Amino acid sequence: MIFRVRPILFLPLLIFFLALPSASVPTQEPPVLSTKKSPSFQPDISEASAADSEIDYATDPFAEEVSEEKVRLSDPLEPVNRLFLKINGVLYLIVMRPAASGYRAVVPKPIRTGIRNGFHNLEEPIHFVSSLLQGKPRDAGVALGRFFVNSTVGIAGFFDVAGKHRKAIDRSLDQTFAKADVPPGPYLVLPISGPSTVRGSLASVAEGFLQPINYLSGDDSEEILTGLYAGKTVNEVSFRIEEIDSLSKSSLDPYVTVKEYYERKLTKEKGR
Amino acid sequence: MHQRRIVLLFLFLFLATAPSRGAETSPGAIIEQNAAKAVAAIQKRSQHSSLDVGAIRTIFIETMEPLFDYREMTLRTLGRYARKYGKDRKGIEELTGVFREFLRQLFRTTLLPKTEFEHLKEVRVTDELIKGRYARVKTQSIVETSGETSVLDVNYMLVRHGKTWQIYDMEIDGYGIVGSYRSQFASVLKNHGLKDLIQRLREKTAEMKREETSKKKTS
Repeated sequence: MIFRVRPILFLPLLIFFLALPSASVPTQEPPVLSTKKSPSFQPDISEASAADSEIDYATDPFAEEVSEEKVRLSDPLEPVNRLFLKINGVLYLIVMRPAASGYRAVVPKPIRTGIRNGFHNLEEPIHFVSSLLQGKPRDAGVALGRFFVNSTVGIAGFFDVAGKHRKAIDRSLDQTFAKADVPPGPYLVLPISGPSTVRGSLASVAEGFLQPINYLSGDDSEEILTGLYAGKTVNEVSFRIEEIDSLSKSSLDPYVTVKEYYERKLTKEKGR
Repeated sequence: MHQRRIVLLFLFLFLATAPSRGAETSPGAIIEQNAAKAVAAIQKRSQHSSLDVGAIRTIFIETMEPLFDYREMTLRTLGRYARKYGKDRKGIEELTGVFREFLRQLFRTTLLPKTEFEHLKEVRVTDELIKGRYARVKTQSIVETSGETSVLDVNYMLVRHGKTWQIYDMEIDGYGIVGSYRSQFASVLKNHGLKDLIQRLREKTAEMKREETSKKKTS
């Protein structure tokens, strides 16, 4: 599906890419201004300038028509957040991107898709509990049904068999808290794990208890878990390398872009 | 996702072609008529020859720009800073030029594969709202891939110039060009100023252009 939007999956990947040096790299190349005159209609500049002072360009003429209230996060820790974003960006460049590129070169897409399905299947218990807490028993039923069908018929979630009948309804604990009007607290950029809030961080900790793989036991369980989470991230990044690259290219201030993206994600989640 | 949205924004910018001449046409009708023409052109081209990136680029440059008001878009993106810098005519003119070039280059380097163009079947106008010199046109774009039909909601924002309407922004799923760049503009302006913003846009454009050139050389 071309236009399928999965911000929840994508968001953790933003952790890595940002603060790429591109915004501050000086260039010796001359400006790329087109010398060819655009055929487009352009209003008379002098006339427009006279009117500019009377027009409020900051106010969206259709702001009243928008029903959802945008989430805006306070950012008292901006200097520290920017530093962590830079560190994450460097980590992405020197570790994650090369690893994901190499992995993509040797592992075919159907296998990577299956692995992605498997990890998503392990998140269904989170969707189930969150749906129940949000008073959405039907969505909880979908999550539960998908988990059992995909874990068995879908071979540990490798195949999204249930997806043919019921699409996943991703609900998180952070979304649950947001719907209960728990304030998000300040914006945070965490080392490695990236953009979050105080509320989001607490929700992530709570979600850890709902992840079946976190209940692995044995002498090597910690190593296995670390490997699984690293593998999950590398697998996910392997689908997004170009997107992440392009995002860094299109951004004038990656810190602002990521924060805005995160705020929009929270706004959308609250409205769902 | 952000990148995909930006690409989609450009794809739907491309759906609108020339502004209406002569008698006044409603903004909704402009979008509807030109979108129908564009969809037909895409389908016709894809039947007769492969719709490669070069062809799409040419269509984009030839058909999209006449309906696009980059100046209004730049001032809207400046937001509250438009009042501060609005008197600096040269500065605004320069900023408009580099922002336009930046967006053009962004389109060139982030264009999605041809499939997304080929599978666009129809664009329907679902709502039109006019407020003074501004209009918002809501559309639904129908995309069919492998038997699956997706509906994408795209909002066009237009500004009136005499009898003509021009697009200054569009939103897909709540993401628009103005909204996406306003905070970034503000961040640079707050800490550095207009000159630095212009310089950054130039650097970004040059960087994208260099990458495009090196990709061409290697392919």
